[in-house]
Amino acid sequence: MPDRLFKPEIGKDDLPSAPTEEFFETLERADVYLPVSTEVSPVPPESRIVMHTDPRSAGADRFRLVQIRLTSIQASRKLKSLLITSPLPEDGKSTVTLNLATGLSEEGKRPVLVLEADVHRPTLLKKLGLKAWPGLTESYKRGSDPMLAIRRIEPLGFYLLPAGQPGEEGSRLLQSDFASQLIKGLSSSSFHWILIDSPPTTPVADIIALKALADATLLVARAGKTPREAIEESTRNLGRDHIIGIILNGVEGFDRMYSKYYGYGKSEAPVKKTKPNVIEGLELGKRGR
Amino acid sequence: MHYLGELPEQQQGNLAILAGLHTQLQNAMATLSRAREQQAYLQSLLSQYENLAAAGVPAPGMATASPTETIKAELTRLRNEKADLLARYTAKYPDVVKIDEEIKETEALLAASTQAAGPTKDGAVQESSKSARSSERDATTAQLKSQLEANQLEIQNATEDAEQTKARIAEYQRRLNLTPVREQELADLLRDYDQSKLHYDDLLSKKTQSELATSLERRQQGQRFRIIDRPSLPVKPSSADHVKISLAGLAAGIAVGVALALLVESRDYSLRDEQELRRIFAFPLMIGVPMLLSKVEEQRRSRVKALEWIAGVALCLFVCATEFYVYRRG
Repeated sequence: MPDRLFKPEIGKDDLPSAPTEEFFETLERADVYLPVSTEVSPVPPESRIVMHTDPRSAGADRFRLVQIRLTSIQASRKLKSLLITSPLPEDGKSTVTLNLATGLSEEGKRPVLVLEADVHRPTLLKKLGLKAWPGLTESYKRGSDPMLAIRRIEPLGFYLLPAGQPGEEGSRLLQSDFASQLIKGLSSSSFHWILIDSPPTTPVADIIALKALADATLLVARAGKTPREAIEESTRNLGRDHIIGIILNGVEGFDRMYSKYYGYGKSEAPVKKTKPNVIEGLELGKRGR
Repeated sequence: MHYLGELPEQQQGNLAILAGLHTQLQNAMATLSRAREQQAYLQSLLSQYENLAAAGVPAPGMATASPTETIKAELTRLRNEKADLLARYTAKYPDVVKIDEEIKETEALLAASTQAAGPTKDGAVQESSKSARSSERDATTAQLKSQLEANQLEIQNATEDAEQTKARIAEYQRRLNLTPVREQELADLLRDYDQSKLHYDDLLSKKTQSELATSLERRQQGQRFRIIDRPSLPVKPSSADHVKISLAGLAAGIAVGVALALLVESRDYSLRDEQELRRIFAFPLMIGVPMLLSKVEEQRRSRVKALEWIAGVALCLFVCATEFYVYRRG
């Protein structure tokens, strides 16, 4: 699958209804890039995207710390595609993914893609309060380009490739060449970060397939809920060398500590609106050029 | 026998006897008084006769009266006195019996005097009158003297009788005075006796039971038991001490709660904080993130926490109130 780069200046109306391979080659030769549609998320409180809704909170500060660490690690080694998973369901990996994406995108200044690989239980669109649009599973079924399913999420500033409607072909999709080519293609794109919101480490086959496609894995566990044995089994399945770190979600006591020592308080951060269809600082690279 | 007559139950008898003795003393004193009066009369009469005899003057009543008439007058007097006594006493009264004896003697004397006196001539009558008067005077004097002797004896007997009666009265009075003292002594003796009897009965009972138990053991009949310490009635109810039971229940509840909490904690193998994460794993990135709650969820969580606190405080207050109630109730 060719590398697709996006340039928002081209309007949607210029796109044919069913773009072909020749059309893309034409675009490449013309040094034209595909447009990106924008979805405006109401960012409901249930989304728990504190990086946007409450940037002065303790949670936002901790995510910023994670962001800084990841950036620091990225500076020292190849780290672009990050697999975010957890030993058990409901550990908070989607919430971590959305907050990290918001932070790493730096209010839209850096292109960050969130790939929803949890094809069995997709939740990102619901968390963002958005209506569903065709995603991975639809592309897989139709054989279409999954890049066309990428949309920019405002006001959060990152890009989202949703999982689509869940179905029986979910595992087959993840273990197929479709997924591997997609992720490989995304890895060589101009996105700074590709955060793969994956299923839990059980069943193991799905995560092993995705792990092989990602540069590193970030494990998410829930404090007071995820057993230590489950974390250790996940590290064994994923391989300690592949795991870059563990995010312990839901730790008690941070609010008291931050309010006591740092005077952090809850505040309603204004929703920043960026210009739609404008990607600032996006490195416009041409494949092979 | 030492205090016979001084006992409390004899007091009434002693009082009755004392009353009788007082009456007897009165009678004796009356008899003595009469005897003394009789003595004074006889002595006076005797002295008159002796004086007249010395003067050769016929005694009054004697010139014209014959010895027989004198004796008759004396007999009349005795009979009058007997009638007077019979008006107060019975015929068996000692004074009456004595009067009867004197009457008999006087009647015998009268009979003798009547035989001695007879009809005579003038010269012989005058000579016989003189000699009769002289013999009559001698007889009267002798009679008076014998009466005086009898009276003296009567006075002596009456005096002895009165003294005896007085002595008996004093004795019975002494007995009556000592009766309260003997009563107190008797009460003390009876009290000591009762206590000693109780103790004796108790020892006897124990001895009997011991013999019975020994007999049973020897014959191997009945249950093999012996009473070492007799049961005693409890001072206060022996039911369960409610305060202690409540406190024990409270302590047991706390212990069970703590044990359950420890059990739950020991079976909790999840991670709690960053420190625990860093202690177990070693990855380049290990960061803890707080619970991300929306405002609504935070408010709900605060309400739940407040309700938990209220419920906990209410439960503690209920337990304390229950303990206090049990303590006050005893």
